[in-house]
Amino acid sequence: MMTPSLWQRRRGQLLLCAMGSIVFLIAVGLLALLPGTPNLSLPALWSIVNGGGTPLARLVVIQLRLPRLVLSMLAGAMLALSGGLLQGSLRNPLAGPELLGVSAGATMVVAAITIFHLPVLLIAIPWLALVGGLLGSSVVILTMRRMGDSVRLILTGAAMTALLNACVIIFMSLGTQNDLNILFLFLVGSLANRTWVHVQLVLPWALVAMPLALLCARPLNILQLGDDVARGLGLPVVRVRLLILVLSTALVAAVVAVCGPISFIALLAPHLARRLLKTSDARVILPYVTLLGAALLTAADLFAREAFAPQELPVGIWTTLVGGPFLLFLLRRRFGKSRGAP
Amino acid sequence: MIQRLTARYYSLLILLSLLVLFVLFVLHVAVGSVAISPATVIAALFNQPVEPFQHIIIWDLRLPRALIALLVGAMFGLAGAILQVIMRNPLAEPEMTGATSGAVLFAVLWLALAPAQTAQPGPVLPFVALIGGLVGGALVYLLSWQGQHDPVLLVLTGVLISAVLRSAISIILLLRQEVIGTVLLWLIGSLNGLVWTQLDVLWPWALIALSLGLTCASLANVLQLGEENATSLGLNVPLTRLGLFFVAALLTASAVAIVGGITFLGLLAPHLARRAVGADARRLFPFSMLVGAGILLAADTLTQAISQPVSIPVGAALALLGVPFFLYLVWRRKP
Amino acid sequence: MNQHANDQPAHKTALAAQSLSVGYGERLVIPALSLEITMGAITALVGPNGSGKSTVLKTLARLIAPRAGVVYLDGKAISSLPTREVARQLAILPQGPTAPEELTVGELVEQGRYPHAGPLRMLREQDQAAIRQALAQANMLELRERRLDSLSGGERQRAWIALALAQSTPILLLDEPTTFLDVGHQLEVLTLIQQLNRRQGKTIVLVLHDLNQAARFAERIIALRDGRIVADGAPRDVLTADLLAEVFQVKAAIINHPVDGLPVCLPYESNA
Repeated sequence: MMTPSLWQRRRGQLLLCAMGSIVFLIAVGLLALLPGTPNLSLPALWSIVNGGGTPLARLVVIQLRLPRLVLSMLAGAMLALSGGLLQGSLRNPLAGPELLGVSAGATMVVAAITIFHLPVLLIAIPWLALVGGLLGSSVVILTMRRMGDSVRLILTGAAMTALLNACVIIFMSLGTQNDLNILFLFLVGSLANRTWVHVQLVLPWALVAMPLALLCARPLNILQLGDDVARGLGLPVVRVRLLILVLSTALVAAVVAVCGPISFIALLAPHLARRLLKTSDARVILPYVTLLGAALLTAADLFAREAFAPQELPVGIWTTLVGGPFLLFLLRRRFGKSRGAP
Repeated sequence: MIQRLTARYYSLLILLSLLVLFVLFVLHVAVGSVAISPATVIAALFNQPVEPFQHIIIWDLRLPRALIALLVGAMFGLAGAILQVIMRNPLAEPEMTGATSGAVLFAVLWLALAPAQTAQPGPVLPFVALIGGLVGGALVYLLSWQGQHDPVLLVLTGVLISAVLRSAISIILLLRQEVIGTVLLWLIGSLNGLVWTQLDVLWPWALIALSLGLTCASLANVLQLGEENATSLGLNVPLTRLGLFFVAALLTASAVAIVGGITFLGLLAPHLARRAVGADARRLFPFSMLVGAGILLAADTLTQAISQPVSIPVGAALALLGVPFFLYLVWRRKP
Repeated sequence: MNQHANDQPAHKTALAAQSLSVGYGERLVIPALSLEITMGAITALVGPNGSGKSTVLKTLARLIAPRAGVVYLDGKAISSLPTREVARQLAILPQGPTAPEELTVGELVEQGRYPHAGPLRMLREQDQAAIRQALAQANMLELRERRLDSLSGGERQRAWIALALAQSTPILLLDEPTTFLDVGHQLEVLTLIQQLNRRQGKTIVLVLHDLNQAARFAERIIALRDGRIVADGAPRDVLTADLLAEVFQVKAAIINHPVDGLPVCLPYESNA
């Protein structure tokens, strides 16, 4: 799958990074199953896997912690992939669903459904969220005059997000106090109390959208060369970009429908991946970003659960509080170096 | 739209706008749960004798609200115009300075930590919010400093820091869920319940900030030419940018401290003003103030007219204006 | 040099335009233009700023859709052909291309096989061979592993040319390939282009700013002004003082180059 030159050159390094991420993922995953009420140890976990352990422990692990773990991995992977796709297709390191209005659009739709108790099938919610996300991002993208214009992108995206967030607040003010609290928890992005039902809702989307996203790698590489060159190489640029937009919005919409808007995983994971692997070849970055996203979100969720135990703060808050400044730090260096380049 | 605005047309435009503003002002005072005729309003304003009941309503309730709307609208308009000039981009808005999120954060902190305040936000709240706004602005400015100011980095920092501050707000709201209701109004922005007490807090800051902003107009013009050109014309670019940014943050912070996080006005007003009078800051700044004041008055009048006894927060109405705005942006993009 | 198996015999493909009308938004850049590209030759498009030369090139390459008129590739309307099919016949190098910083020369040139390999297929033997050959032709084999941003201007431009070469097309369109290069690198790139034509029979269309370079390296010069063809022919016939006065509004003297006798323009006064 990889380019011969890249592979030969840095086979060792790439393998190391991949192994490292997998080990990290497994470690974090295991760790995520241990703490809480009751606190488990590794041997206890092992016995549960083998069919033993106390009924309470079995219940907690299988019905609560395991689905939450699976969901955090799926959601992290999907978000990270979405960010990777957007950044590649828009040729902009600042393109992320949270900055383009995708998350805000999806959130607004879900908020409307929740507050107004709209009679919508559970299965249909991600689809509606997809529509919301597409609406939000298409406006932002349609107002762009040329690809590299980061300032316009951020500003339009911010304005769009502000508009959509204001709509959410309006909805909130029309709801009851009880609705408010529930909705608020949702709005900050959380994995708390997610069960197998939620995993089932997300899984079909993951199974379809993620492989499709990985297949976009080569077109993404071509898009990096500029619209004219890409067209000259025979890539139907507009169609491909549209497809990528829909795919990445779908990935985000499914996550938002179930967990609410969790920010900065989508923006950060591709940056970290590019930095660690020292390449922007999408055929390498996209699979890696999937692993990285899963690991990051799982780790963040673990932190959210345990850092201030027994009080749990939603993971969305932490990804913003930590992810925001971290992203800023990463991008400062980038923009300091290449003064004037988009 | 008008391409070259001669001095004569500009003066006419200003006069016309002032007239429109006056009409809107009178309408704003007239509309409410108790209907008062515009004629009565004008009479009361010029100290002619009117019915005591109506006099109280006008002078104690409606007038301060209208005046606050006027001032706050002008402040948002000017802040937005200043930022658009610094960023050399007509899409910049005051939210970007971090002042809005900072002000709201500090206000929420205060409301959460001093429970007595939740019943009736007292006179200290605006000051707390103001400090918060300035802190937010300072944070954004300092964090985007790299020996110079790259516009992309400035915008990005503004957006990211605002997001971070907002999640801090979320933490507080989660820990003190009872405050959510009060805070919500704050988050959207509302003129409900504002009377002379708040106006008394507002007007000194408004006066200072608005005057500062207007006097900087010619400096802003030079800045608009681009960093290199401005420097070769002898302008100290970093200092000027800092000064203008500070004024914008001050305007935003003091306005938000009184009415809450109104977001769209600072984007819309300068945009419309620019279409009418062009990019010369000496014209754009004052006209943007007028447009901002007009929009806010009109929006508040509208929300009061259609929803009684408690009107929809004006920030909500303004947010909805964003929809046609975006449609307009999409329609106007060049291929 | 042997002709690569993938190269189409030059005379089979024909690139032509009929009554093209092209514009951006409300601006009409080219009112009505017809032309036929000479196969197997190097054609230079010249003209003042805003004359439409880049626009013509991009329209020929189907990057821009004309408002009226048709571009023909091999007798068929180019807009009716699938874009990947076109990419196998025609390669274009636009002006001032950019690429991600970390990209190496090899990774860049590899992308040129997209029209042949498609989005899903792995690179086959013939793809690898084409990439190798493209790098060799552009003298970039030793620089294959270098990052693009570590190369000099001329080397970087040759890398992009190698990308176009890896497409293995009989026709090559280049939009101002020498602008932003110093004189040494300019000659380097133009000599490479000339070799591609002489040794492999590639049909080449270039947009050039420098008239003397056009005279030196092209067999046919088409001069444009305000979207119309004002002159078309061999350099000796096209580069006259009258043409320069009309197209560029300069007074110029035309002399023969002391070394090889090719026409050289020497503008000396503005006529505007």
